[in-house]
Parts: sequence; C-alpha cells; structure tokens
Amino acid sequence: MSTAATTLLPPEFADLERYANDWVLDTEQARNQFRVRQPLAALDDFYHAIFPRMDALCEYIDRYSIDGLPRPAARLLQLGLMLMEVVPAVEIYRAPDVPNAFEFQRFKIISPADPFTIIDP
Amino acid sequence: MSNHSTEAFEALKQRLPDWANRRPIAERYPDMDYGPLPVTPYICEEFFEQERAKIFKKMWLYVGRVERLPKAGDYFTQVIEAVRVNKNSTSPSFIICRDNNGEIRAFYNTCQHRGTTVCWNNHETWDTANRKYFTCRFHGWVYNTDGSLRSVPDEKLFFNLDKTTRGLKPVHCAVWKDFIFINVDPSPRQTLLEQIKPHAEQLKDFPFERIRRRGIWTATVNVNWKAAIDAFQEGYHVGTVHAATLPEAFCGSLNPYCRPTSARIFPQGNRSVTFMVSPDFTPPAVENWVRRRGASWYAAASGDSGSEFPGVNPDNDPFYAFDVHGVFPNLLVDPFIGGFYGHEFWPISVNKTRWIGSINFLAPQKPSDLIANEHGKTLLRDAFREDTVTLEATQVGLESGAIETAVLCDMEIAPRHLYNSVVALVNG
Repeated sequence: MSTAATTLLPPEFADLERYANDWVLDTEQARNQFRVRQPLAALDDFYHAIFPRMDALCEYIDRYSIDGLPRPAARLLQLGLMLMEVVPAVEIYRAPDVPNAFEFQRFKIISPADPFTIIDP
Repeated sequence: MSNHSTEAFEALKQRLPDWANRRPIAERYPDMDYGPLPVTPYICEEFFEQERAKIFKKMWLYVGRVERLPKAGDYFTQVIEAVRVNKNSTSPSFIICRDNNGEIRAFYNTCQHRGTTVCWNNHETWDTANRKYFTCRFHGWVYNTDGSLRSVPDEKLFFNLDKTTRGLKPVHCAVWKDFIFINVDPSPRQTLLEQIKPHAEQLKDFPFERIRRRGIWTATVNVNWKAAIDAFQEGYHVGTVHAATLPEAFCGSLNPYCRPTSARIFPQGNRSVTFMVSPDFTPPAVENWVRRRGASWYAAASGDSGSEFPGVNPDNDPFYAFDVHGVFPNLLVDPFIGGFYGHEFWPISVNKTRWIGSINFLAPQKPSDLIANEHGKTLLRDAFREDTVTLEATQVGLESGAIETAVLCDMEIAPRHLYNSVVALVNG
C-alpha cells in the first residue's frame, strides 16, 4: 500500500494512485487474466477514471524515451496498456470476457514482453 | 442502419467496386469449378499423409521472422509434425539460428553422434536463446553456429572419425523481407521467391523490415489445417462469428455480408482478398481516440492514404481495411496501414492443428505508441477467440457422416482455391 512518501505514480496523477498497485501488470497475459476476473462494474470504474486522463498521461510518458522510462512513468504506461485491455470489455462486450469464445485456458498468450525499458535512478 | 441520407448512401454505393456490389468474383475467374466440394480432404487420414509427403515435405514453410534473431548466436527451435518421417514417427525439431557470421541458417536439431536432440529448448517457450556453440547434453559434442562439428570429447577413441562429415544436418533456409522459410526437401524444386512470387511482387515495397511483433497467440485445436485456414480467409463469417467484437465495423448497410472488395487467384494455391470497413461505423470513444492517433489495425477512417505502405489495397478500393494474402500452403499474411497481422497453421494430424496468430505494428517511436497499438492487439486477440471456437465444432460435423459435400458461395473463393490446389497436388 502506498503512502504519501511512497507513491507509485507521479504526483500529477495522484487521482489514479488507487489503481497503481493492482492494475499495473507486467504482461499481456497478466492483464488479460486480471480483466476476466473482475466484475464489469470494476472495469467500468477503471475505464471512467483512466480514459479522461489519457491525453495527459500520454503527454507525460512521451517526455521519455521508450528505452528509458523511470518507474513512475512506466507504471503510467502500464495503466494505459491495462486501459486498452479493458476497453473492449467495457465499450463493446459489456462483459469481462468475450462471449461465445474459445476456451480461455487453452488459448495461450505468448506475446513478447512489452518493448520498453525501465531505468532506475 | 445507415446513418446517411438516401442520396449520400447511393453515392457511397457507387464508389464500391463491382465485385463487392454487383458482379460475382466468379466472372473474373470463369474457369474455376464452382460446384460442391467433397469433404474427404478434410477428414481422411490417407489424404493427410499424401499432403505431408507432397506438400509439407516439398515446399518452403515459414518458421519465423528475422527480428527473433537479432544477434549472432541467437536461435530458436521449432518442432514440425507435418514433416515427420512416418505417420507414427515422433516429430523432428529444427534449430533456426543466426550464425557467428550473421547468416540465418537452419538445421535438424539432431546430434550426429547417436541422434540425441541437441538444443532442448522446449519450443513451447517460444523464446530466442543465445549460444556461442551448440553443445549436446548427452556426451558433450560441440557444434559451431554454422552447424559444423567443433569438438568431440575423447575424440581419439573414435575410429577414423571425420568431423567434417558429422556437422548438424542442414535444411534449406531462405529469407524474404524478414520472413524466414525452410524446406526439408533435399533438392527443392523451386526457390522461395518462385513459390511465393505473386505475394512477393505485390508486397515488395511493404515495410516489413520496420514492423515488430507485438501480440502472439496460439492454440492446439482439433481441426483439419485447411478448415482452420478457411475460417480466416473469407468475410462471410464476420457478421455472425464477430457479433460481439466487431458488430458494425465491417458489416454495414453498404456491404452487409462483408464481401471482399477484390479477390485474386494465383497459381500454386496462392490467393489474396481485400476487405473494407463499413462507412456507417461510428467507433466507440476509446477506439476513436486510438484512430485519431493513427493506430487502428483497420485504419481506413484515420485518413492515412497508405502511401507509406505500398502493396496494400491493390485495386485502390474505397473504405480499405486490410488484405488477406494466402501464402500456400499454411500461412496468412494480412497487411494493413500501419502493420500486418497473420496466422500459421501447423498440421499435426488430419484433425489436429497448431494455430499461431499474431499482430505486428511499425516499431514504436514513443511510449504512447505502445498504448495506441494495444487497443487493436486486444480486440484482434479477442476476435481470434471467436474465430477459433468455430473450428472444433466444424471438424466434428465434417467427420460425422452427415455431410458429403460442402457448398461454397462466390465470396468463399479463397477456401475453394486452397481446396482445389491441395487436391491437385495430392492427386497429381
């Protein structure tokens, strides 16, 4: 749990800090598994909190190179990736997982790691 | 429902090419047989063995892109069931690597001492590893990355061992615009370029080299490899199968059944089909946000003319979405403005196939590019969940004895051409 002394996101994005623990995940597989386990209401809340901030979020992270993001900026990037994982469920399916679909456990996500690098100070 | 006035709608309709609007594709290819297709090739084990012998053991097969092998000593392994020696044999494994001189090579992953598998990367990890040498873990024979045998422990104990004759057995390996192909035929009857010629010509300037893999997904499905391909090479299924993911994006009032706007039939089983987006479609909010950043995987609405992606939309059809290039035998390469997506179909048995789907985008320049691309990646992945769920249900029906022939309509010409080409090769 983050405190004022150990916030996970840049101070400009304190309004999103409540998502910085659980909704920041390192891989597409982790994000997808997380999404399908949430109730739709939780996905809606996340969507409505994050989407209005997306232009500001992108402007912030784009100050850095994709090869050198400080951790707080990288977490913002990952919140953006999580938003995109959540978006179709919220905007289109209105369900956590795509309906009428191939069995979740048999469909393997083998995507390469998200191509950005974190630099620690 | 159209959100255009009648006049505007008629004007839009006039912009559509004949093939999506009035005239059948069959008029362009009058010599094809448009009759029903016996289902035997999808369900018969003997036919499958003939496919393995006459197609998979004789043709160039795509195994991966050069971006998987950035440095000397990088390699990955791949098991290819389709080229196993006999019906009941285990399946050979191949090493695909970049040698210490930077050349891309491929070998049987078989030690030339007593036959053990050299690189034990489980191919299911899908990773690239790196070695200065390949060392067999049974008796420590060491091979250079060019396949030559480097050292043998206690070498003097062998009887006239000529190390130059005991290198890893190579397979023919060729690269076209970063796509790596191998051919297990000791004397391939044609070059890679000859085999893929119509696709290579059309896409010769498409910037594949600047495009990076981002999403990759795989499933082993109890379906014939050709039936699996068919699910991804026609638009007829889109309105039904993708009702949850893409409800109005492709099937609008102008082209309600998602007919292609153009189709091309080439020799040797090759084919390509072009698809459009519905101009009726109003994307939801975040998708609209993504499109404004130019990152949709069917980016017609972004206004990008595609001039940086030469080779797409060969007839310059309006409302262009993407092309489907059927690269015979088992590869689909689907370019769009901004990248390409695609599929591999690896036959395991007559009714089992490993499917691998992917989406690939221009290498990201800035962090927010990753976010914009992730939208299309997620939506396409979920759409593939919808496609793949039809496959086993199809195979069960094909094998049930309840259907002797399949009837394909005009816009299902790609499945028809794949079928005809396979039958011709097997029977020829």
